Order: sequence, then C-alpha cells, then structure tokens
Amino acid sequence: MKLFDTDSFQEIWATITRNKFRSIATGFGVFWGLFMLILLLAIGNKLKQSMMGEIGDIAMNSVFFQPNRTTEPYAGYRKGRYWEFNNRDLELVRQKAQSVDMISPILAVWDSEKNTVRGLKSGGYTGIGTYPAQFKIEAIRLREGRLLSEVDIAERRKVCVIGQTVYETLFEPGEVAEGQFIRFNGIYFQVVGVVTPGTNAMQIMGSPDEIVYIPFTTHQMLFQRNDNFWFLACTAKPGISASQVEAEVGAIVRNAHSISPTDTGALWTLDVEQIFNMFNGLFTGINILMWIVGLGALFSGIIGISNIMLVTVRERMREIGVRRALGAKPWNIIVQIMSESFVLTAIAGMIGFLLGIAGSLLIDNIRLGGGEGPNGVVEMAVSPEPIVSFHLALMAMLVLMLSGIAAGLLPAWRALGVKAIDAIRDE
Amino acid sequence: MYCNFLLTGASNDKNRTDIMIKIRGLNKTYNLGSPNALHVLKGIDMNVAAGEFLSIMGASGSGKSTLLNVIGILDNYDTGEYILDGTLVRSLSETRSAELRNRKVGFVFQSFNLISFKNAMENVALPLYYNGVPRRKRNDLAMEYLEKLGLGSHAHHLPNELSGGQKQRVAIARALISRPSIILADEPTGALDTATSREVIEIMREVNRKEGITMLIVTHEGAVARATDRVIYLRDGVIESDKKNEKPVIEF
Repeated sequence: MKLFDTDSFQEIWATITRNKFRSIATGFGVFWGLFMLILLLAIGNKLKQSMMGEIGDIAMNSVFFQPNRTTEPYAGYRKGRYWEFNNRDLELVRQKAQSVDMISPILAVWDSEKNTVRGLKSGGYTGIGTYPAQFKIEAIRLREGRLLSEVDIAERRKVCVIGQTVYETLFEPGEVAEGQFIRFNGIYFQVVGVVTPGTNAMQIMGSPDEIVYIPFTTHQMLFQRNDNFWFLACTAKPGISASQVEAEVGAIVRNAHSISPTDTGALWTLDVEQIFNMFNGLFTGINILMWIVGLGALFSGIIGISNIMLVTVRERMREIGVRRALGAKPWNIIVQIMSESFVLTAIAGMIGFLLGIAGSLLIDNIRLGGGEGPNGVVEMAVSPEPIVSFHLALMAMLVLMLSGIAAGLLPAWRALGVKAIDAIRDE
Repeated sequence: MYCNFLLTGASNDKNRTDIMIKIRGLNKTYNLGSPNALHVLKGIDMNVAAGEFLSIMGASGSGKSTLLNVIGILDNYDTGEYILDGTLVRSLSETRSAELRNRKVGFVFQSFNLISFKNAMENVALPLYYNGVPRRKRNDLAMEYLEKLGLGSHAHHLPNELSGGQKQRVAIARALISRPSIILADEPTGALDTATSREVIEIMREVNRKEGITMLIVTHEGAVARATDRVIYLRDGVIESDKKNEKPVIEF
C-alpha cells in the first residue's frame, strides 16, 4: 500500500485547509519552536565562528607581560615598589627561556595633538617602539613598502611604519608614502611601509591603523632616554603551551628584579591562548545551551501538536467513525492522522525555519565587545557573521520530520480506538 | 415521484431466490461474563432475499439497532451464523470487515453523518476513496448520483448549507455510490419532518425498485414500516413477528 500518493495527500490537505483555525493553532507551536531553534543556533554559531575567524591569524600562543607595583615584600624591598622592564630582561629571556620563540618589547609615546606632521597635514597618533616580531604576533598586514627589520633595530634607524589612518591623514590619496619623511614628536622619520590590522580580535595600544611603528632601539634612544620598557610580548615555540611561557618568563623577570616568585600582582600577564580557550569553551557552552533551549521550544511545539491532535481526534470521533463505517481500514485512519500531523509539522516547521533564517540575517551586524586589559591597552572584539550552515539546515529538517511522525503517533493510536459503532450512535 | 401510489418493486418478484442475508441462531450479549451482562439478541433467525425492501421495528431496547450493527458488520456477535451475500461474516479482522463494509454495505443514518468540512460531492465520493477509485472518476460518479437524487445544483454546498431532506439525500447518494449489495438505514426519517420523511422514503423505494438494491430500514415509526414490503418486529431480542406487507403504502 502506498503511504503517500497525491490522492491521499489531497484528502489530508483538504482536511487541513478546511479547518484553518485548528490547523494554525496546532502548527504554531512547532513553527515557534523551529524559529527559536534556528535563531538561537545561528546566534550561537555566529558568535563562535566569528571568534574563530577573527582570531585565526594572530599568534594564539602569545603571552603579554606588563610590570605592576609589587604586592609582597621581598629581598629587603617593601611591597608597593614600582619597577619596569629593562634591556637586561630581554637578554635574559632570550638566553634562558627555552619555551620562548618570538620576543617583542613594546614602548609607547601616547598620542598628543598634532604630534605627527607632514607639511601642512597633521594628526595625533601613538608611536610604538617595538621589534619586527610584533607584526607577526598581532597579525598586522602590510599594505605598502616593508615592515621594520632587524637591521633597523640594530642600527637604530630613524624609520617608521605607519598605520593606514596615519597615512590617510598625512598623504594625498594614491600618494606613495615609502621614502617620504614625517615628523613625529619633533623628530623626522622616513616612512618605509604602511600597515593595516589583519584582525580586530586583538589590539595592543590601539588600532594598528592609528599607530606609528618605530624600531624599538630608536624609540628607546629618542623618547625613553634609558634602557627601560613597559610591555613585553612573547610567543611559545611550536608544541609548547603559552602558560609555560608565562611561567618561565615570569620567573626570569621576577628573579632579575628581586620580586617574590609568588608575587603574581607584580606582573600583569595576558595569556592569549588561555583567553582563546576560555572563549572557545564559553561559546561551546552557549551553543549547547541554545540547542537545549531551542530543542526545548521545538519539543513543546511537538507536544502541542500531539496534544491538539489528541483533542481533535476526540472532536472528530464522529468523522472518524463515519469514515470507518464507509470502509476506511485501520491503516487508512493511521495514515490519515499521522500524515495530517506530519504535513502540519512540516509546513509549520518550514515557515519557522525560513523565518528563523531571515531573523538570523537581521542580527547580522551586531558587534560585541570582548574583554579588556587593566589599562585598556589590550582590546578584544568579536564581529559576527551570519551562519546557518547546510549541515544545520539538514539537521533541522531531520528533527522536523521525526517530530512530525512522533507527534502523530499518540493521536493515531487514539483514533484507531474509535469504533464506527460508538461514533455514529444517535444519542 | 412525490405522489401517493402503490409501489410494486423488484422485491415483489417471487422468482428472485438469491439470499442476501442469512442469519441462523444469532446471539449477542454485551458485557459477556460480567454480572451486568445484557443478552440483547437471543437466537435470531432470518433470511432476506436480494432486492427486498423491508423494515425492522421494535421499541427502544428491543435489540433492533444491535441487529443492524451486526448486519452492517459494525459489530460482532457471540454465537450463530451470519452470511452476507454469500460471505460468512464471523471473527473478521478490522481490515477485512472494513473492506466488506465498503463493498457490500451502504449506510443511511438518522443524523446523516455527513462530514462537515466536505461538500456534498466529496461526501458522496468518500466511500470510493477508500475503494481506491481515482479522484476525478469518483467525483464524476458522485456528481452523477447527486444528479439522480436531484441535488446536482447543490454539489458544492457544505452540509450546513443543506436542509435536512437534502442532507439525507446526499447520505443516500453516498450509500449508493459504491453499488452495495444492501443499504442499511437506521431511522432515516428520525430527524425529518413528515413531508421530508415522505420524500426520503419515496427515494429509497425508488432506488430499491430501479437499482434492485436490498433495502433494510430500522425504524420505530409505523408509517415507515407500512411503506415497506415486509416488517419484522423485534421484542426483547427475539423476532416477535415477520409479516409480508401486501399493500405497501406511503402515507405521511
């Protein structure tokens, strides 16, 4: 016997469309359930995938260090002492830290009004002194010219790499910046390249678009006038976890500056890997939660369909009885009730699914702020993209089909119990 | 069609010997085995020839509805034998009895039992749906039967847009469409006024005469019984009398 031919479909379709209110009331639960499921999953997926996509290029195994006031008395020093990194730390880390791959010290001259000048054009930008490794760590993209090099560092060249915004402020559109001179805080630097951020997921001392990058040694000589620096970034060697770098480098600098090995307050650290894992776990958690909530909504919709179908089977005792009297076999009745619930579920679910997708497209442009360092120097941001994957759609359809069948089971079984003789009795 | 005249139909043809219904020693008890068991049919014996137009009368509780249910294969029985048009009806599966009902029995009910959300034509066509007849063909056939019963113009009306008499005519068309061996009518005039009752009985008479379909009417109205060729009186589950009505007359 055919389960689903056009004739029986028309029979079912007629029953559904001619009892419109009942059908809509019945289908609404599943519509809403699937709508919510898709919307929630889209949001969850979006958060997670955008996080992955955004963070993809930056050095995930990097750790940032910043000195802070000590919080424990140690080696004759009182607590609350100020300290700074110095060039000896760089040497020590380079020599001793087995886990460290790249190393990059950071110095900054904060932006001030019109501190960056070229001819008549000027702007206020932050000047960062750093190593070439910093461009890799932050996944900064080169737009024109070259990045800073080891030779620039060694020779303390007065060169700079400028961010895209700096370029746009100081240069005419299309003008070649390479080889041109700009004045930063009263000192002339030759521009060797223009850069732009590869990602918005992480920023150090502001957006790379608005920074003038100067060789670390040059910066230290011109603006710091001692061998101190404020900020240190390290990456782990392949296969070594960032937390190992955090421990090793932390121990080295604490030892070098007579800081208690247990004084965690004296050295602020940011383990990107750990944060990434945390976010990853968080998004997985969110995703699971959304599945639970969404499936819960869908499940209650299915219960709703089943429930209303049960009620209508009672209401339709006479109709079913008449059908039985006119020669409907038990099988016909089962197929009819099951198909009605299946078709209702499928249609309501499809509408919910499509509107869910439409809804998830609407929330496309939401920006979500991430964590922030204690001094506002590190910012993480998430910018979501819409994601309703084919896989997800397929899953939803499968869930829908199963739920349509499940919703019809109990009502069909109940309808089977309707005997013609009971239904058509005239009392 | 609507005048008062003596009818002589196929059922009066004494040459017909085909047995449509053969019932021997039929017993039916509700709640069998429990203290409040109700012995409803107590050894019924009856024969109905093909093409007969007969009625079963009895007070309420006499067992006439139960007998109709058994004859219509809507209910089973405990002991005895029931042969419908050559087929022994005994402990059939639900599927098999549905098939038999579909092919051999047409029902007409007191409260019409039309499906409210289907129009007249679709209601008439419904038995053919369960017989696997394609949609177009069964709708055409339904139209044909509705025309026959003078309801061609109302084919697309829903039941609640029809009068009582029209509803019962739709029901008769529905009973006829699968060309059953027998039509069972349970108080077909019970919900109708006298004029409409008369109209319905005339139609049934006509159908019986023209189509040769055996017609069994269960009623408690004397007027309906007097319109049939044979009247069986049931009382307390036994056949009290079984009389030929030599001069059937439609008088409402």
